[in-house]
Amino acid sequence: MTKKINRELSSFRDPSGYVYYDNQKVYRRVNKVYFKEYDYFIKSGLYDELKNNGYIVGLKEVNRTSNYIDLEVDTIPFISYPYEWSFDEYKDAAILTLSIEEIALKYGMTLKDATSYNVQFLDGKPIFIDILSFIFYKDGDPWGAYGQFVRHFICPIVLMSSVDIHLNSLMRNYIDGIPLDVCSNILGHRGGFFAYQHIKLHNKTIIKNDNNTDVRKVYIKKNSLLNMIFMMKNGISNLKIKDTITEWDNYYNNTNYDSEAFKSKSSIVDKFLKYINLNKNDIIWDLGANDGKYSIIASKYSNVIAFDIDVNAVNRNYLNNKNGNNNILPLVLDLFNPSPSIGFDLKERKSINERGGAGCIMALALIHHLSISNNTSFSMIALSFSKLSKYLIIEFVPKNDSKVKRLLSTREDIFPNYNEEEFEKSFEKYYKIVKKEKVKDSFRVIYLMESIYE
Amino acid sequence: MYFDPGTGSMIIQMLIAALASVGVFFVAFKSKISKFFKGLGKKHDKKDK
Repeated sequence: MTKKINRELSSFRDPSGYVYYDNQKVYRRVNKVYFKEYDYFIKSGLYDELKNNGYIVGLKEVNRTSNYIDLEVDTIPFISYPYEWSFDEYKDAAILTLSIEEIALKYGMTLKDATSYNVQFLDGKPIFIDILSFIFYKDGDPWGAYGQFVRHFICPIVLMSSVDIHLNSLMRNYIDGIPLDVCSNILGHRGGFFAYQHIKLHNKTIIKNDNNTDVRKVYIKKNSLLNMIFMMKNGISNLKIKDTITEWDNYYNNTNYDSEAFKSKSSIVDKFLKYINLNKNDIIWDLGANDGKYSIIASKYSNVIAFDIDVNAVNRNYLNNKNGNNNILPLVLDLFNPSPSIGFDLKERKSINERGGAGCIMALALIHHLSISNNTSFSMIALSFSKLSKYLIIEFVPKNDSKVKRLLSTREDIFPNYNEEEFEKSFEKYYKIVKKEKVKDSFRVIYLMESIYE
Repeated sequence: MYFDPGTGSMIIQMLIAALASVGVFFVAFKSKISKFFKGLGKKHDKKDK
């Protein structure tokens, strides 16, 4: 009699086992074919060393038969994907993978795959989730997962550093990493010697050996392999992004607020969050979080996902909080083109709406960018938000606010309904307005709303 | 391994690993080398006085 289990749809390629869900917990099934590797992984101390470094998720054996083992693993509160990561998040995920490979080799094991989907973010840091990725290292063998590592990590990171900071968005188009020929063509002569070796020369070698059925015996000393991993870590660590100032970068330096308004807004947001009394499992989505000034307030109450369209702001948020508010996860998101479902049968990687939703959404200093800059009606916005979370903390920014004046200064004002009354009327179709408070020294108003959508 | 690692990706590693062994030497001894050249500079200045 088999129990009906809820299998993770992206976990199907590896015969060693798969991920499944049961009663809000996450499990990994280990198949018989992987028993030897799994037992060695644990008994050798490799798992313990990785766990003690904070590199890998926690696991607990809950069931063992002659055909399979069930492991309960730590839950990741919010699943994110590489096309949502900022530059330094991506770099850290790459360096983590290489550090794990280094340690694995020490114990006579190696990673069989090196996809960016093996890394998630927990407590402000990247963490490795694929427990079944470890196989025995055969002396003299090259790294089998190297090609995948280049496509999933080196290509996007080098493109972000040498060409344009937005280019990890290509990971949305290429489900198994950016192909080397595509990356080479985009780079041209850029990327330095690091890109020349791992991407361009590598690509030429792949093309040359496409029809090569006579597989040459490749032999690499273990020490040389470790040197290669070391230089890859070194090369990636040295990559930087150009210090471009985007329109959002100095947002809070040139902001409408004097400190009185800022203090007032902060205290209102804090008061509303305290009022809704979220439990620890309810996640807060901070939309348009910029560099996370208000995410920090929200982080006192629960885990926060700090979304913004500006990749530099997201990156700064990540760097600022790395050793501080570690329950904030900054991610890149364009609300007008959010992460879709992709992969096989459009079920392999989930759309942003399928990541578990939120207990509360914060939409501060956002509505004018949605309604005016992007021509969306209040009703459309209200409907879309109401499906995602029970509570909404939203700031109405009126036409006499300096930021809105700036938006309307270079375009025709086709928004006769952009006012507080229409705002409330539209949102009340989907929400109950629980609280409403004016921000001191400002024309702005902050609302606490409760969704009436089931 | 559950997928094809790719012949080209295995072959290129021989070259990259060999280059890396040279690279590690320089990265690991970079500080020693720069200190050596700094030391030379100081001796030269003392001579000029």
